[in-house]
Amino acid sequence: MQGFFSSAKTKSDIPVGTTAFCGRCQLHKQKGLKHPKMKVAGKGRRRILIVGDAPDSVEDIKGVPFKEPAGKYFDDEILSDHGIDLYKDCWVTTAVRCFPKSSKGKYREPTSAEIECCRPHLLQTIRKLKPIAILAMGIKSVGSLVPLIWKSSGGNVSRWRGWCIPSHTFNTWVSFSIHPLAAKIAREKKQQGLYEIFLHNEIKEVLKKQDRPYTKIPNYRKDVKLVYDTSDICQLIQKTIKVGRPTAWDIETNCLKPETPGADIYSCSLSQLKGPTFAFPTTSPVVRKALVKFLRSPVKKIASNLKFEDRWSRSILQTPVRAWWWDTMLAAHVINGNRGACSIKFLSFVYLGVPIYNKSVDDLLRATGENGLNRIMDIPMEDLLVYNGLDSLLERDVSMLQRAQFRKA
Amino acid sequence: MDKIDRLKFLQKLETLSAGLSSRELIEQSSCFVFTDGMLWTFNDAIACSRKSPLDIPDCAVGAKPLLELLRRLPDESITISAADKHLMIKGKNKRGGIRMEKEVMLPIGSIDSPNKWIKLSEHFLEALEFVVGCVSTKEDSFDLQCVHITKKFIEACDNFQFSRYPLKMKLENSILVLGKMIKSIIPLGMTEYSIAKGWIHFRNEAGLGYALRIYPADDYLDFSKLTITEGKPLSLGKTLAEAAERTAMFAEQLLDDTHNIHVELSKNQIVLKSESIDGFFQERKKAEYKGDKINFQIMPEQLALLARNYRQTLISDNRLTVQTDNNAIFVSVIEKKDD
Repeated sequence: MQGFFSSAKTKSDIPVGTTAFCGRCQLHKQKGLKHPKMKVAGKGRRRILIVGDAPDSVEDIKGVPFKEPAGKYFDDEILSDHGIDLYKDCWVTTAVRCFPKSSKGKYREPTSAEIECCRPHLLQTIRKLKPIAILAMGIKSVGSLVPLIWKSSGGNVSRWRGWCIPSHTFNTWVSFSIHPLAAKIAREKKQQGLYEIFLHNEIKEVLKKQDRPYTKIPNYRKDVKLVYDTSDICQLIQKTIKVGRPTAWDIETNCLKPETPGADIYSCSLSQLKGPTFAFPTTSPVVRKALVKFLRSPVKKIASNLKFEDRWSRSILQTPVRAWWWDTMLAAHVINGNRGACSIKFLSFVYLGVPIYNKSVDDLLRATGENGLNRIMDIPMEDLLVYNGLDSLLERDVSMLQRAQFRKA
Repeated sequence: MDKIDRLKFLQKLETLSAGLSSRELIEQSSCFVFTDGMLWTFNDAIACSRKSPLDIPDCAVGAKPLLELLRRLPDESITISAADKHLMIKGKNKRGGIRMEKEVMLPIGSIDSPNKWIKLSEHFLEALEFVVGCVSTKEDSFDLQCVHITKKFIEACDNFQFSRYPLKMKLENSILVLGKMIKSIIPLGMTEYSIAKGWIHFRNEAGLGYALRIYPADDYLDFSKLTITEGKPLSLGKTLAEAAERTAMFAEQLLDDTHNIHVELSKNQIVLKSESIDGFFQERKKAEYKGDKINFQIMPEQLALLARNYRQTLISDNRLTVQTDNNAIFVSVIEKKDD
């Protein structure tokens, strides 16, 4: 039976708790640990929180994170160049607070379960200290932090390093870098160049941030207008053509390939530079005609993965797109060709700090196989249009930041 | 060494059992923790505390064996003391020891202390009882597992039934509290509450304190449309509840996950039907109804609940609504079917 709302709309995740699951993890009960559940160190004068992976034997003996040789190298050789004292200017903690020992008593990488158990502690630390910037160093700290601000799968450091993200979740800047140990090893092998440059650059970016990213967290949803009336839609499209400013456009379809039998476009959204963003259903032939007019107009067009929109407009709307101007995905490949770093969801997060916004439609928009149909029909039109509108609005804003980045380069 | 009344001690412990966890994800979350003259349980979502009835050093004692032993002892009064590794419990000619940990590791420090205590409305517990049956048990929707408390009302919905009870609360922002946790305060006669950072505290006159984790309600669904009462009057006979439960028999065997029964409503008559591969059931009952013929599906337990508790309802195309004398609203979804 259908409930009051669609199941997509009622879906919501369990918030991460703030009590560490030490009872499940049990790392603190390993024999011979000197400092289990290591406390956060440092005075944090510059309100920067540094998050490492997990303490090793030296840090366990001393009871302070980053007190091992790699931490000392980071403090003495990297931070000091920027006039920063690790323990005076920053707070220092680790993704896992206990020294994870191998069966031989040596350091081993903490497991994902151990990271998950300790994540509530990191959350509590961030909420308590309210840092202006967080620098997560190393793959385990990425794995601990990313699910708190974006989505559960973090990926590797190379996907994240180099970004200084204005996170909505904590209203703080979040940056990622390689673990200092990697740079130290590279230096010892006389290959210091690149990794040290990474570290210096990321520190430099973090230090530029003197204040929180926002006085008020932006609400992109309120900028998306949902339009259902055919004549209103046609008028807005006509106005977009008339104003002539670059416009991001995005469509929602019932499968990946327009050649699939039954393939169709269900909704579209346009987001004009310095202008409105509106999303509308595309079932009416009159609306489609107006849309074709827009696509053939000289208005400069922005998209994410333009070849998708181009292929669909040629196949379903029977028109090529005139005046392609910017593709956020293509630009992302040029800026940072890392795997998983080019989708509009990722880009709007790293550039604008926007958390995941497709939860309510994600499952239903996923097609079964490359040529299968998705379940777009089951998404309430309002939800689909909100999602569609956010896509084009964020494509527009991301494209502007990418263009600025290109100009700077 | 304390000599105490076994049953009273057991009762005191049982009032704290909502804070116990069966799986010890958090250290000592399956224990009764004695610290600083207080007795605590805490499982991350709820913390329960009261003055310790025992004068023993700080320690944590496994809740399950302690409760079990106290329940099995026949003695009216027992003596309890702390030994090196055990909490010793002695009755006449018998003694038992429950393993205890001297180091208290239960993270009760993470619970923000209450600020100003505010008197609870005399209708709060009644309101809570009214709405809490509507919270969802489905794990894919955290928000719907919660009771939504606002300045003007409290409400809950599992997407198939919705209830709202008007009630004034002094809150800065609306909050969500897990339904299965807040439910536990209903029989405890709580009289005051206090909002702290991330927690809502309750306490009663006996000094029992419950702190429940609160969550922001920014994304909670807007149910205001459901509070518009509309439809034709339908009075359900009291015996309809049993009929609905009987009809549920074949609906339970259906493969879909809603297990609805079919209802045919016509002038002063209601027919309940269910059918599965094993057979069918049908029962006709009287109902005060003067509208057009309507066929619909409903969850049998909701129909039984409405018939048992409210009787006077309003039926529209997609819902059955009840409005109580104090303006509380209960809405149950129905799915209209064509002939």
